[in-house]
Amino acid sequence: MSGRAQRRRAWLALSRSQMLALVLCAGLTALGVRAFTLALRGGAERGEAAASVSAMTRADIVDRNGLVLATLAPTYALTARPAEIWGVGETAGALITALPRLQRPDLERRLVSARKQVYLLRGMTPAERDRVFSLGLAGISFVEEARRFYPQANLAAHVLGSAGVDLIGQSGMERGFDASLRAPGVDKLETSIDLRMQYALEVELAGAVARAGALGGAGVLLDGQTGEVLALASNPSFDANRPPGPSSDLRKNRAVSERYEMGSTMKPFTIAMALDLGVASPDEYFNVVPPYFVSGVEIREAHPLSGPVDLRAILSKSSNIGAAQLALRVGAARQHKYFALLGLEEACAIELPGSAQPNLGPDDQALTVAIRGYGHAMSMSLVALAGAYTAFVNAGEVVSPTLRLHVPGDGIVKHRAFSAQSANIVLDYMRSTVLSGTGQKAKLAHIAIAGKTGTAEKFEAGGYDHARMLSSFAAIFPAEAPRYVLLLALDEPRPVDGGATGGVVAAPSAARVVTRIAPFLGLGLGGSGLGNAGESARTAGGVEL
Amino acid sequence: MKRFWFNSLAALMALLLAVALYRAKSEADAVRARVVALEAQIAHTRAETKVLAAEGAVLDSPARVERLAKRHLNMAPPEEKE
Repeated sequence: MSGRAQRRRAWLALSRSQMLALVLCAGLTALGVRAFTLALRGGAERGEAAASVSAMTRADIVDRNGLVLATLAPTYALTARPAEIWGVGETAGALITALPRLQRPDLERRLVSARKQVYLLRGMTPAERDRVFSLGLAGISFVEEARRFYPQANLAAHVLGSAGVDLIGQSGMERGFDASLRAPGVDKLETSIDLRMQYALEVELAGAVARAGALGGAGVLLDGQTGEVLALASNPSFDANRPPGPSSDLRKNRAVSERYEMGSTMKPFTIAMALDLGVASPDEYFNVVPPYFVSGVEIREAHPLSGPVDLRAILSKSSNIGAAQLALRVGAARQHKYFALLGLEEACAIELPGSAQPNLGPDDQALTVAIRGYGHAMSMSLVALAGAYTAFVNAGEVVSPTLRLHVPGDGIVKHRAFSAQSANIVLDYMRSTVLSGTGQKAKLAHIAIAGKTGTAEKFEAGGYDHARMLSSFAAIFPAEAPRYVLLLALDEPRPVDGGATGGVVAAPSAARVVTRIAPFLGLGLGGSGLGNAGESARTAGGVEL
Repeated sequence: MKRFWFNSLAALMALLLAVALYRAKSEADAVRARVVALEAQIAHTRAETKVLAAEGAVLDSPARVERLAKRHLNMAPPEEKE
């Protein structure tokens, strides 16, 4: 070998070792940089991963005593990566053993999907997740989700409404209070609802609907001093955890979203207007003997009276003719002014979506004004009418219904509709209605109820249908120290015990509701109700069950 | 020679700083991991509390209480007649 060749081989050998060293050095440098980066950023990445857990939040809804009405329950979605499934038949069989509600054909179709990941089941409980987890199936995993859960199921379903899988309120309080429920840092929303009273109202309403074979019914219970809605029911109801479709009749909130001609439950307002304006007096007598015509149309009388009667009899015996005469004395303009003061010219401002707009009739002609005097030719929601009745609780002042819990010390917005004297006189007449008038079936031995019956024929194209009615009863109790308003209505009841009027089908049920909730309110036992509205609105007096 | 010692000292200090930084970072990482674990535990406990509260609400349901009161105590809702 020549010297030149030896030198060339030596140079090549040196060059190879240098190149190897260079490559190793570059590799080590890359590893060092990566190690340095991981050392500095590794923790932050873990933190970001942890922070992504439970990003979806929504406050609980609780009743006035802290009982949970709606909460966020942790649930799991079962997912699969079809490419990683070992045996479709075996996997499907094992999953169905753990989760019998899975359908095999659908499950197997999903397990052979061409997609990277497929959802097999949503809304699994932690126990169900554990059962599947213990199977140790390849390609099966879980995604943590949060879902709205309503522990009371059917109870207060219309009031609560629902929230979607994105946890955005869709109906009821879920929508009405959506912003508050999604506000950061808020873990619960305290409402005015009392679950015990809600139950009593719903049970008695359902019983009344069943006994009368009615299409449905609705009820509203207010603390008339604060406007707090203690219970609000619509029948038929549904399980809030499995709400029917948006177009289903079951979702109809008959207390808030529907408007009805209320009939004679409007008469107390007509009499209060007449007294307030001085166009009628308690000493005056009225000729209410049929026939009586307004603009050539006869005012029909459900309870014809003989001889002249006073205002007390007009209300307690429910005279349409008497109410029509008083309404004509009040006149259209002043009638509208009072309706506005009572909150009956606009939709009730309760915190629920879809509050029905009232319809105050086609015109302000004499006939319409007279008919409005006894609750026809105008329609409104039940909750709006219940709000108007607070005028007789607060000596003429009206408070708007609300689902917010009244906090002691907070002011209550009231505005005057009638003088205290006018309101108290009408309240006394309403007591006579229960003692000796059309509302005698609401009479109780230990609790004094003042009330008014209502039986409104439904208006159809072409006139009023004598066979289809809305029968209702409005109660204020205890009459000697008025505090609570209860309004109960049945939609198209069939005759029971000789009639389908409010006095026959609604008044007894209202009395049963009052009897059932009296212990919670401390009534009939020497108690004084929920406590002074300005001091302690939350503490229930009387017997705690 | 002086330059050699200066370079050696600088290299040593750099090495010491690197070790100190690594240790501090490792400890911070360990603490962060513990915080993350505790936060996860808190979230888990909160979720369990929510489930228990919901179960409690189901058990407190007026319909259930009434059913049990009827069955075991022979009680009934109050009724009143004139």
